[in-house]
Amino acid sequence: MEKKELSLVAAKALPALSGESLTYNAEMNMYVTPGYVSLSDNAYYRAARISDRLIICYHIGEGYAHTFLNGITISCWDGKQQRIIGQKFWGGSDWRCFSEYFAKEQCILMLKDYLAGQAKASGTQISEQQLLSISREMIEETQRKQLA
Amino acid sequence: MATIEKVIGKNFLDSVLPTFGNQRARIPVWDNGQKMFICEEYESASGYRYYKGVRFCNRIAIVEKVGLCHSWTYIDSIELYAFNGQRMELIQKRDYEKEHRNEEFIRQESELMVKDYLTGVAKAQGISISEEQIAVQAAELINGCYKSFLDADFNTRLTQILPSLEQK
Repeated sequence: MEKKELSLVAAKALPALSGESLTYNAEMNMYVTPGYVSLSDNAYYRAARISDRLIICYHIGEGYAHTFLNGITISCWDGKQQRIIGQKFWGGSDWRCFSEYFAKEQCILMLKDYLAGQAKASGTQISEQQLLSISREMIEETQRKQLA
Repeated sequence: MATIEKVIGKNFLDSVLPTFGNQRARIPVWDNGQKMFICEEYESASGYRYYKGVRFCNRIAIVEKVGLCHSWTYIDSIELYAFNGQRMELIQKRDYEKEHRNEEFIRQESELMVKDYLTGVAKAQGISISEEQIAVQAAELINGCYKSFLDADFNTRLTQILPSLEQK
């Protein structure tokens, strides 16, 4: 899918996930919702990366000192609709600061688990190593820059 | 991507992770992070998303109804089902208003619902069971529901109940 098509897809499909408008942040290489600011002055928003097969949505919280990763939602496409295939949340005593490395590794593991589940449910044999390799490649596909 | 297709087969990849515009195969989605199958996902006219999360063991099934609105994830209700032959019967239900979803809350509520059910049945049948015994039994049932589908000893026959739960 070409970059322009992906942008159109993001504009059409991603607001449905959050009910909010979104903009592309080139520095972060993510589509970002405006989110909201809490009474404690913490900002909460979602940031997404997409490819022609996946939507990775990060749930982010910005405190005064740290940027937290509160969750990751991975979706795939079903026609022109998105379908959630995995979610993971952090917070409370199990909090995580946002780091690209941690987020990427979690996405790879989540996608690997989804593919393993689909393989098991459909009686398809795929080794753990192959699943990890495939998942890594597909997640890296979502991280390619949207703008030249 | 040619490498991926070669390794796992284009048909499998296209069926479970189709490219934009193509239909996904009707294979139940197992979310290992939340230890549940995700079913009946849909988008409302307002753009909010809803889905059912289903987890089960050989005696009960737990269905949580989840709503995604803006930056928040809410739990709308939890339903507890028991087997009656090959049918699933609703035995407990709790509805929530603007309750943020978190794993610990879901687990605690599910365990309370199982305890309430067992206590009620024991009372109705005039059976004397201690609270501790009921708590142990409830914890065991709930732990069974949080078993991963990816585990080698997961009873995959139980996934046959998914279509009947989706219709409710």
